[in-house]
Amino acid sequence: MLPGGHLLSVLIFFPAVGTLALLLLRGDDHKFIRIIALIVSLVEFLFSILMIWAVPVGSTGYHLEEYFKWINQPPINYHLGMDGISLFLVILTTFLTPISILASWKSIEHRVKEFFVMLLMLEVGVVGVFLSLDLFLFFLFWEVMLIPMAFLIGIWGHERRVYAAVKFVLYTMAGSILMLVGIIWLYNATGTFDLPTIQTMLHTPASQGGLELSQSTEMLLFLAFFLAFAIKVPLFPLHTWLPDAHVEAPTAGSVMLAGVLLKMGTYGMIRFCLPLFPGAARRAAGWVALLAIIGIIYGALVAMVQPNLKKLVAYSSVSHLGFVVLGIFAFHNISMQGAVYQMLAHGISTGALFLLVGMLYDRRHTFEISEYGGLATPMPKLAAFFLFVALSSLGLPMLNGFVGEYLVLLGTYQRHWGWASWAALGVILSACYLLWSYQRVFFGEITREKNRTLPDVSAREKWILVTMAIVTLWMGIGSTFITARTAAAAQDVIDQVEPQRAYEAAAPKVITPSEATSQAKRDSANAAAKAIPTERLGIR
Amino acid sequence: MLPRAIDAYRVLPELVWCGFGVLVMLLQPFVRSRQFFAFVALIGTLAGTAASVTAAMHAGPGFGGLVQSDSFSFFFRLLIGAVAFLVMLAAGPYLERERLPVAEFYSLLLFAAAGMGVLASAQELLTAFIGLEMSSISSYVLAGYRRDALKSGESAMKYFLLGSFATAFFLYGIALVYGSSGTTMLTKMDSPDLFHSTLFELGLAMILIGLGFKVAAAPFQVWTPDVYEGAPTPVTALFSAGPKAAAFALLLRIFATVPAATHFWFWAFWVLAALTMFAGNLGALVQTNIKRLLAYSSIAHAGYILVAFAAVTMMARDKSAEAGPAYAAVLFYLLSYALVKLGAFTIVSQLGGAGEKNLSLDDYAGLSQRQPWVAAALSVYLLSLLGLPVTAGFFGKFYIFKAAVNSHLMWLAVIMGINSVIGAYYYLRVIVVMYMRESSAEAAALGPVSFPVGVSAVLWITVAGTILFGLYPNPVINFILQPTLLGR
Amino acid sequence: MGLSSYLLIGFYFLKKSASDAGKKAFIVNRIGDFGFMLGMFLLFRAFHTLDFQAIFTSSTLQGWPVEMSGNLGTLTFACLLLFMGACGKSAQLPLYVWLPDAMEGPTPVSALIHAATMVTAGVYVVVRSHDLFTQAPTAMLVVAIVGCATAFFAATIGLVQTDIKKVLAYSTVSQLGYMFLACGVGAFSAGIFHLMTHAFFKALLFLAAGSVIHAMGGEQEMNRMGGLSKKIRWTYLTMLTATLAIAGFPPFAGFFSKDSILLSDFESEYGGQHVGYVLYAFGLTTALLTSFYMFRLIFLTFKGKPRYDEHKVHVHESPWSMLGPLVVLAALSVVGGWVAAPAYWGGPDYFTDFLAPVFGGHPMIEALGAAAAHSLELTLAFVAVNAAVVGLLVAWWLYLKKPEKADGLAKSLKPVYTTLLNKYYVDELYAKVVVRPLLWISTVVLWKAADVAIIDGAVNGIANETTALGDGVRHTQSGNTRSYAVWVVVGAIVIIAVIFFWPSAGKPVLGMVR
Repeated sequence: MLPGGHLLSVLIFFPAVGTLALLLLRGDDHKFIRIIALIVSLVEFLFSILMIWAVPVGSTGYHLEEYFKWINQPPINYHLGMDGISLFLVILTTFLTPISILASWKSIEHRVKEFFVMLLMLEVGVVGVFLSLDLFLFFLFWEVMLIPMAFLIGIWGHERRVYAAVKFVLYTMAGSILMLVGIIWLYNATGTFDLPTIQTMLHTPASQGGLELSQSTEMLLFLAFFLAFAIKVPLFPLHTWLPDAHVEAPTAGSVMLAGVLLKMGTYGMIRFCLPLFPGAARRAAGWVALLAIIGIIYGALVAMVQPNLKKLVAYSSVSHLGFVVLGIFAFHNISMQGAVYQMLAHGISTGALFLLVGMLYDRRHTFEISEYGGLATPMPKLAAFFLFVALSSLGLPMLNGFVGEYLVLLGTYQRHWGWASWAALGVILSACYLLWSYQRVFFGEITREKNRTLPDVSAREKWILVTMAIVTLWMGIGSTFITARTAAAAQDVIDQVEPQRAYEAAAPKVITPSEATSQAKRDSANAAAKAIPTERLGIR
Repeated sequence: MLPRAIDAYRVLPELVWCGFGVLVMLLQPFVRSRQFFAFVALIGTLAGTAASVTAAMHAGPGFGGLVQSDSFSFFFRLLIGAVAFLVMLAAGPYLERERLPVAEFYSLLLFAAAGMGVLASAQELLTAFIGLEMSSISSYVLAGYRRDALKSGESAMKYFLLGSFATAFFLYGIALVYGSSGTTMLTKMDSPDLFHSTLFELGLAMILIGLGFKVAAAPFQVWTPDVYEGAPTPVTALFSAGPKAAAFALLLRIFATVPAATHFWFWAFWVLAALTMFAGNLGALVQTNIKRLLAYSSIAHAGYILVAFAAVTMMARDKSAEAGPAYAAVLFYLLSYALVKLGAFTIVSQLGGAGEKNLSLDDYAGLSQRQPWVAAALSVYLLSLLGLPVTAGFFGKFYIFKAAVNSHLMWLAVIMGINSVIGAYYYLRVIVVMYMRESSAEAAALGPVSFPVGVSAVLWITVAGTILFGLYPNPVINFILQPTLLGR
Repeated sequence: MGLSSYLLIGFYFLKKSASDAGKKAFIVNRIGDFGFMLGMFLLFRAFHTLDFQAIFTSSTLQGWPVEMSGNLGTLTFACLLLFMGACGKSAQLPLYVWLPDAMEGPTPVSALIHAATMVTAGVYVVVRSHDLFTQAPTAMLVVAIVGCATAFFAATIGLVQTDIKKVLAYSTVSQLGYMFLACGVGAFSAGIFHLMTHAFFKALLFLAAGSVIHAMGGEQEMNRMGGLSKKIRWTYLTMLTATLAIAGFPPFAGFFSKDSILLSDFESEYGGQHVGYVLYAFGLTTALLTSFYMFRLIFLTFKGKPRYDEHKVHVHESPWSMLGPLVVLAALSVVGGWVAAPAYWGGPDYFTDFLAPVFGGHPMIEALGAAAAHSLELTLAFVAVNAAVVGLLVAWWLYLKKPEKADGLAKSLKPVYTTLLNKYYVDELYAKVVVRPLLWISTVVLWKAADVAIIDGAVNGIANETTALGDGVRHTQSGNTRSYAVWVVVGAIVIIAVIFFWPSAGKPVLGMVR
């Protein structure tokens, strides 16, 4: 057993214990159930905070690893571990869970017990996905996460909820089955499901007992994995499940879906597609980037003309996630960090957007923009929060959204200025659709009499929103806290893809004292050096 | 030569089952109490299952190689015993409800079990044939056990006609094989010239067809939905779990033992598998009757198992050492599948109500509200059939996938993938109905259906098994992966 | 800044026009930022840093060849992209459209943000990165031309506007154009100088205008004003000062700054050709126009007969809390320019000296300095003043002497007049060419067609097809035993056929088929 105790196992299974506890409770005492669920999720969050100390700034490789044999034939191991990237994704998950529990405090009235059970089970699956280092284990959690989400959409959703839920599951399964085939293929070739082992084997020449894939095989495997992830992201044109799922899902569902589930796709790309099949990734990069860019612009344009507020936010996710994918496949240290950052930022700001939309829905039971208008008069506080979040989502400097987009574009530009230039159009469009919809919802005279008497944010809602706002602001200002911890991991991934040029991409030509370190050997390259880009980019 | 005691040991389970079957029949005129017969039958089943341990301890060929008592037959005897036991548990309340005589039912069940046992341990074709007939004939009768119900009679009739039709193929196959190889002993069919004997191949083809009918492989599956629907639900449970397993066992033994049988046969299995998967899944898509739906799904799963068979023959053809896991895939799948199907059909039979009226999906609307635990159990089964993690079905499917990929049957693996997605749709539909629709007024008025101890026991056992093997399949896998599985 | 202006413009959020203006301001600025960002990226690519000092001092830049006409190198592109951002912020062609609308905001906001300070940020950026620009003359030329064009273009629109704040808005755009013009010809200090003086008198103008509007009880239409000079004396006087300043009458501030700009225009060259003359010509014309529309404003507002209902509106001077700033600014608009008294004026040019450490030592400036002969400078100044006077006189003649002539002129030049009145239909053009097509494409093509019909259609289509197939399969279940038997036979035949007649039967199987 490696040092570090069982923190990761605790993180995965503590919510599971919580679900058991809930199952044993009587179903009718809703308040009690809510409180228990909240406490569980908060404790989980505190646990996840502990992980930060396990990741020294600039450290590479996996931390807090746990490893023991689970199934001996085929040899499947329970292998957990985390690095800078998974660290913050897990924290994001454990942060959004209590938020969404609070968000559903009042809005969920029937079958309360099941609801929170599902929510916590979802957390189990997602955290598991982010922490497993065994392909089989990863796949297991990947599938486990499906069902609770489907239930959340299908039971507590809106009109066309069943259609959306089934669509969501089938879409995902279609992708994951192929991934399963890919995983098994890798097992047959390597005799293990252990990610690090496979990784090293794939990076050692056959002469030294490694595994060298033929170009076509590598590409097929890459696609098998990539498809599953691309559907989850979702990458254009595999995105059509997303609007349905979002519109039909209850607020908490949307928050989790947009906040973390989509990130599982991009996380998968970073963790599996790139390191395992670098050659294929390099060859496919152009096409992937093309799809990502189409997604950015297309998503934004379609979002712009949505009459339905929630659909609008959903399509905006397609656009934002496009940036992430672009950043990943630009194979540049900065853009990779940007991608990771964008994942987190999008999780927060889009999550917050869904919360606000949900609050509007609680009051008026509609998502149609035309039903609103002039809401700033009856509910100034909500309007203010909404504006704040919208601005963060459209990437206003000093707020979280900016950092991610900016880094992605900057990094991408260094490798492929064309890609970046096209993608940057998204920056304009995001302003268009967000401000336009904001104007239609909050500005102007009140158009519907119903809206005149709407109550402003309640205390509970205010606290939710304040929390989100604080995080947004902090991520906008204190970005280096995060980038310093993700940089090394990001660099690692790039080194896997492009060993030969990875390090010169990381280390600028112009040497200023502070940068001198980054000229050091790759193995000793640490985040002090890696984090420099973000510091020199005028993001403070 | 004369049979020795050891030979008796090696078929002890079958002997015990037959013995108890006869016993129950003899007692039938004198005893009225249902419980008594149920008790005796259960004891008998358990005794037979226990006896399979004795048989396993005296491993080796029995009656000069007619039967083979090895880990393989041990596994299947345990499985069959368990199936029979659970079916009996579930059947008790059912027979009570449907006002049906018990004694015949139990004895037929025991005979069927015995027949399957023989089938699973036979190493000689005529013995296998006897086993097949034993199980089949009792199955025919069981299918028509609800004499007053028209559907039941129809089901029995169809099953009997088509069954005997298939059996004819089987018998003819045996004849051809004997004619070409001069023996009916599987172990003796190893002369190299059989590789080129058309007659032999034809014979094997006939046998394959006969067994293909039993396992409901397309295009021999057409009878399944009607028969499954018509038969009393506990019997349907038996059909989907028992005879299928036994027939697969024989098939596996043949194609694992006879060198010539493994010769480019994977083509036959390739085609059968693909056809069966599509026939089952596509057929199930549009079903509104839960019993029919499960019937089609069992066809589909036969298809998945046939994928493993394709892998088996493939690797045997290539003399690959990986064949072991492929067998294991079949065995494990049969186990997980039996658990799930028994549980599911038990629930169906219980919710069906008197005269099996409530079989349409709509009757399951809002079940999660009326009977959360039942709904949860059924969901576990469905998810296992769907192949989602933390259920035995997941590993079952996983092992088959693995076998297919191992033997480079990529396309078959992909077809299987597509099929599992199609399958996901209709399994989800049931879950959706149970959880995401409100119960109909009358159903709500009716209130929860009572689940007697026996039935609940079946559910608990099957659910526990499904989840246990879904989390920790090691014991089973280790057992069925031992090299001496087939006694050699 | 984008945010603050967005909020301040949209301050009266109940008015649709206001929130529209706010949105427009933000988005147009975004378009500028788009270019600006790309510019930064390009710089980062070239210099591996975005720290101004680091770039300017970097050896890379020192050793960088001046990218003369023809070779459009990195720097040229970078500068042009940066300039795009500047255009957005400082409302230059073609991104100026947001500034006039921004007048929807409260007048003090207009005075501070949209006249004096924020909008000049673009100018600052260009000046700040003059090290780059001077290396890329082509970019400089573009800056000059755009600035010049904007100055002229906006001035022409200003000629006919009747909303007092709109006139000022366009004059702001035009003045900003002047500043860019200055930068474009390398007279960075002149640009900054004009920036400063402009801050004084434009702020003054806006506040005064505010005071007028206040006095008129919210009226902004100059057609419904007139003869206010006696009623609101202080406002009138201060505004007059500012007007004289902006029109460039000595010794008011505007005179000096504008003067130095025109001078540097006249001197400027590009790759040998003496393009300066053209720039100068336009600059001069603009000066004339400026003085014209400003005095037009004065006359329409303060002189002539009242054109408003005197019983309804009772005009009243603003309180000192409002007038105080006016007076202060007025003073500044007078003396503000003296800090940069040109050579022939005797007084030393404090301002240029002050900025010398920043701009000093650039060939172009040197050249200018050398060429700045008194005589020339004097003549130019003289010409400029005359232009201003002409403008004044024309305005006087048209709007005081013979008001009817003005309408007559408007009629006789109807097409021109209406075009100007409608600001060259630029907004309409943008709406037609950019906004509406974009919305249409997004709705009809992308969303309705691509997303719903094609992609999702395909997905659901597959699902439906599968179900249909399932229905077909179900129909094989006739329930008729005989047909079932037939199925079995058929199956038997199939299997046997497969085994015997399969192409690869017996022979090793092709890898691909597996």
